[in-house]
Amino acid sequence: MTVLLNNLKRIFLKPINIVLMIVVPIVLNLMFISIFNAEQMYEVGIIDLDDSKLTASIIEEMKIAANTHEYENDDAVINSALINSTINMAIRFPENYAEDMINGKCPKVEIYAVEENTDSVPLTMLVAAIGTNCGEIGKLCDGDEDKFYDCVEDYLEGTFQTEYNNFDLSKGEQIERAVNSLGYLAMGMMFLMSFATTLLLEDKMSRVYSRILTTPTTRASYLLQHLLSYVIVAAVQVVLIISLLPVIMDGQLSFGDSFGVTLQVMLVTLIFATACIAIGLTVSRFSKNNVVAGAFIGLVNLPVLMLGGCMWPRDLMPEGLQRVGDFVPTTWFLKAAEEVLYENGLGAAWKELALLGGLAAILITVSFLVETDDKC
Amino acid sequence: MNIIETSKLVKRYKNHTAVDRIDLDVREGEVFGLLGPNGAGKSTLIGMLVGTLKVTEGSVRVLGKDISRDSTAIKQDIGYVPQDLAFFEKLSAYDNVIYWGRLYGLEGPELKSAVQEALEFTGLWDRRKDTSENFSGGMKRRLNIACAIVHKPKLLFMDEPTVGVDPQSRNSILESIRKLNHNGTTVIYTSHYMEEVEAICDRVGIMDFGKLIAVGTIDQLVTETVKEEFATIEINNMSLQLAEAIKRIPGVTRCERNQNVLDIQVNPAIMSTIQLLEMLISKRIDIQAINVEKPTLETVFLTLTGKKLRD
Repeated sequence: MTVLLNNLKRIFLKPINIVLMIVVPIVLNLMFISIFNAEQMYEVGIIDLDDSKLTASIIEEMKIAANTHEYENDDAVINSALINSTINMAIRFPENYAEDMINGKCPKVEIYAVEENTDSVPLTMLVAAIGTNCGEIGKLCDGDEDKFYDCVEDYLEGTFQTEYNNFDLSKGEQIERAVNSLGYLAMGMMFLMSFATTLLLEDKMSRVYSRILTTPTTRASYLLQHLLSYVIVAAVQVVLIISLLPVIMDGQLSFGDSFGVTLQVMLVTLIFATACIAIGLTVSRFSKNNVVAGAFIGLVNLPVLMLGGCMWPRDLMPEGLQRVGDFVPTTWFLKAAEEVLYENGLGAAWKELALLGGLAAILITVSFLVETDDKC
Repeated sequence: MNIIETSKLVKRYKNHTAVDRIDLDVREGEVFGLLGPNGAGKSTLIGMLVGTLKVTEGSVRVLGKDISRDSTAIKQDIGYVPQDLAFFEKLSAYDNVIYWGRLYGLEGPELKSAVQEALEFTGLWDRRKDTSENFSGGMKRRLNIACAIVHKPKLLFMDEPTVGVDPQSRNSILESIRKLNHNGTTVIYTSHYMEEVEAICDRVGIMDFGKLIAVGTIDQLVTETVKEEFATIEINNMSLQLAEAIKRIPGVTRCERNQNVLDIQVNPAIMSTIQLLEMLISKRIDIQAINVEKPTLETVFLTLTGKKLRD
């Protein structure tokens, strides 16, 4: 256990390693989750030709989700603002909009947006819904302006209430967020893979490795102790991050509703980490120096993270790339984690776990068994 | 008793033969010097002797055991001081020696006392808590040795252990090797410094192109290898005719004039340097100074390999 204990000492004696293994994945998670969870504020141009109490109320209501900017009734100016992305959309309230509403005529607002851009869809739907419902209120109020505005006020308060309820995350969304978070954690695991490479190559370059082989310690024992030390580090990393992140995120993130599910997530992550370590061990075992190993790890890391859905959802990628992504360990990891998070148990993820375990087993066997001369 | 025996030992890399049919015996209790120009195959030979390189052909017996079958048992009793500083520079000297001691299976009080002994032996006990990266070159070399002797090996391989150290540290290291040998450790020593080999080695093996081309004591090698004698003679009123006349004397194989000084090489089988001098004196040649050069290991090496050791 001498090599193992010494490795742990070498890893944990350097504060930078702790920062890279624990702090960076947590900060990355916080950063990405904050970005994706931030309420998107739309920029909306308003051309209010009616200038009524109703249009003022609707504009006020829109301010919950949008920054509104008043515009002159000039198509060229609006087109320019849309093309330059100064605004996401523009809404033109026609003259007599409120009067027509009160008289039950259901007038339409005009909405302008860049055709290919979907940014404006939620607000378009909101404005359309308000317009339709105000029209219905108008019909019911039969031209009574005071009654109409009282009803509209009640309706808009109700709309706000509905909107508030929508902020609650459904279970599906919670799991999606947890899977995304594990994707960022996968980056930390990939770092561990590079780290495994670094320590072993350090030993090789300083000739400590070949010197160790002149002692009764066998190559298999040396490599096994290296492997175990990284698995221990990975276990610490996984347990700490998966336990701490939900606390730090103040309930916005959860790796399972029960301790059992959280434990399964940890186990799946640890199996993935072992596969990553096995890749690192194999690379360092057969690389002559850090340059070769660094280049290889770089070539592996980025595509594996991208294709596996750690940087963006796999569904956003073309079909062909998704099929290629089926063969990378990050995909197997995230699929297995998703199964576990949906409380389907480890059995439901057996295929992905078998693939991860198999990959690790093959690489470790190759590293241990392939004979090479270790020159003094 | 032989502590190392190799028979027809070969190491081949594809088409390149790094070690070529070497038969080598190293006796227990001796300091054996292994010399050879760069690329001669010394490191490859040592690699096979310490069990880190697979043998292509032939056999190796170390400490009476076959390396291919009992390598773990053999490794328990050998120490290896590499040319590189192969330890952890971020750890203290004490932690480093503890590490290597544990790899050799030492534990508990036995380990602690062995570590203290190794550090005291190499003069590093007072600096044991210091991180080794802050050590001078000589201290690092001594720590490199301490890591290899912590388990008191019967056989110690030292691959250029004095590279890059100051003369004082070198002397200290050489003195340590003498002490180790005196205490019963057999030492295999490779170096580019001929004077070190002459100072500490009982026998020497010279390698070139993967072959062991000579083995013996330094005196044996000199006697058997260097067949000619070398002398410089300073003569008053030296002339070109005189130099030419000396050159024609039977037994003189080389005679080069540099102003009043002649560099002379003679074949003692025909005429010794003494006989040549007697002849010159009888001819009333006015000899001002004579310097008869004793052949050294350097001469042997040069004669056998055609290269200087530091080429």
